[in-house]
Amino acid sequence: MAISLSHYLILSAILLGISFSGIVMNRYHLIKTLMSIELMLLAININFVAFSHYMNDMTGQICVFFILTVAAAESAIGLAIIVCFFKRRGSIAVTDLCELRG
Amino acid sequence: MQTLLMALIFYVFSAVLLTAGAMVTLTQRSVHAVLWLILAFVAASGLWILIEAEFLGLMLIVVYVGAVMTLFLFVVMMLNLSEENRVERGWRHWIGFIAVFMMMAAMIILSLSIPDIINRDLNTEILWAQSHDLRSLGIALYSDYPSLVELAAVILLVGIVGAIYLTHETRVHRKKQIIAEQHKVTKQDRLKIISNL
Repeated sequence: MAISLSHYLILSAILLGISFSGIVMNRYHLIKTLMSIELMLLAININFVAFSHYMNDMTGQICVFFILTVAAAESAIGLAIIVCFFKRRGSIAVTDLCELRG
Repeated sequence: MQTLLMALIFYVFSAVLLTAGAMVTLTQRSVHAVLWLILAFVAASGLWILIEAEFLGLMLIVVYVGAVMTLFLFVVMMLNLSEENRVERGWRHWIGFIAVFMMMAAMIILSLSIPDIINRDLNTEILWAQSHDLRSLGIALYSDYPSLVELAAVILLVGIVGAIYLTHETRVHRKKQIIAEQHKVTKQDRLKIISNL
């Protein structure tokens, strides 16, 4: 009945699958895509923390530390780009992102 | 008894986490999706505290729920989007789902074949006495990886500068002080002597 490493790995695999299918389903919704990316990073972090605990090594938690930092910076810049695009076009539909077409 | 309780806590938190994760992708409104995502982070934080990563669990709540999710909520409310949900129905859509499920199945099969040496019991007394706390995290962070800390600082600085530069707008008719123009002013420009006869 004890919770083993496999439990955490399966949980994180299911969460990664949910967030991946979230990206597949909401391809035209930029904010939901960003949120699915956050969920993916959370799944990876669960893996890191579980390995860090069960293999008795602090390096996994330090990796989580830096992944959190990068994820925070990434979501801040992503939201800034979304706001910037909304100011220019009045919508954030992915189908409007067509100005780079040659 | 304690093992049973920990297993119960694990299953409750992971059920909450998976439900919240599924609702993030399924719900129609963006604000609801952000709130479900907050619930997912809180549940994940509980799971982390369960396996003795207390500092990271609390930091997940403080940094993520406190800062990043608030940013998401602000942006979603500020943009005031129309809630049309364009769901793609096509064969490419199903290819994506099949790929996701195959990936998930492969990961689950791989994680079931973890050797039993790593699968230790959660609450052995030796583990509890070992150094899974904030002090050892700090020692490992600042003695083994100091350059990574500086790199993280640079990444955050770039994030701040990038976000401010992207969203900052310079107003055209703003009243501002130009020091050089002020210094060019002479006495003859400003001062007029009116003789009172």
